Amino acid sequence: MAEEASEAATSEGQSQTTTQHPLENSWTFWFDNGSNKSKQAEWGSTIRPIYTFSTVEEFWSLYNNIHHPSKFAVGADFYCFKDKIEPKWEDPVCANGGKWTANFPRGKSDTAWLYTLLAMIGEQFDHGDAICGAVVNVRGRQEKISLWTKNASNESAQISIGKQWKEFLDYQESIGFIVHDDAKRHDRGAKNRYTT
Amino acid sequence: QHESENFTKKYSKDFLLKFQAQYCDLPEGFSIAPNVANVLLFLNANKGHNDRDSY
Repeated sequence: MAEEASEAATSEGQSQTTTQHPLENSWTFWFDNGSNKSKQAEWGSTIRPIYTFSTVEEFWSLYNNIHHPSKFAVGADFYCFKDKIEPKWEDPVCANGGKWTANFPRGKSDTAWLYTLLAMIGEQFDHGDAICGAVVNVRGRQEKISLWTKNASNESAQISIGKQWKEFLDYQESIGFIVHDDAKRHDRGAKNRYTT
Repeated sequence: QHESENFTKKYSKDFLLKFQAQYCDLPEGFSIAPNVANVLLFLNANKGHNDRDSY
């Protein structure tokens, strides 16, 4: 039996059984506060892990206390990645991967961010094993949510993930997939490897 | 409905959302630097759901 039952006391002093719902994967929230960045700081040096969770209950305990993207300062990046995977190109699991990105006007990504998290931790993607995690980037005029995947050359898996993600978000616009290697070589000039 | 010891633990969005209102306190042992907490967390984190509804 996968479920773990535990006893918890209510505020009335009574005891009730609460059921913990374990997730398939453990996930870590990471945060990069834009205001701490400086020109001298190497990219990625200001990212810090916040907490690793492994149950549905822990997820909500965190989510309900953490600001949503619309309340973050411009420049902030908030990540949710599988445990043991650092949200960096250099991470060996991410190194050959890429990312799908969906754009939203400033203050309009909160629901999409939540639905992205729920789809990931609930293992709703047919190719969930190919997913590293997700990040929301808060910028001056827009918020971007990106879904990082492991093996960019596996086209069918990337297309499947991209299509399902759009369905989960009810996102009507086209989204693009950029390979990390292309982004490293061409920065903002990198072209989409796939679109859907 | 959603899980078995032999299969991937899958939870639908609607199933997960049922639990949202039940877990409003930070996990025990949660600790981050104050300067990060100030920008990351609601000001009344740790105070519980009723307090958050009071303003």
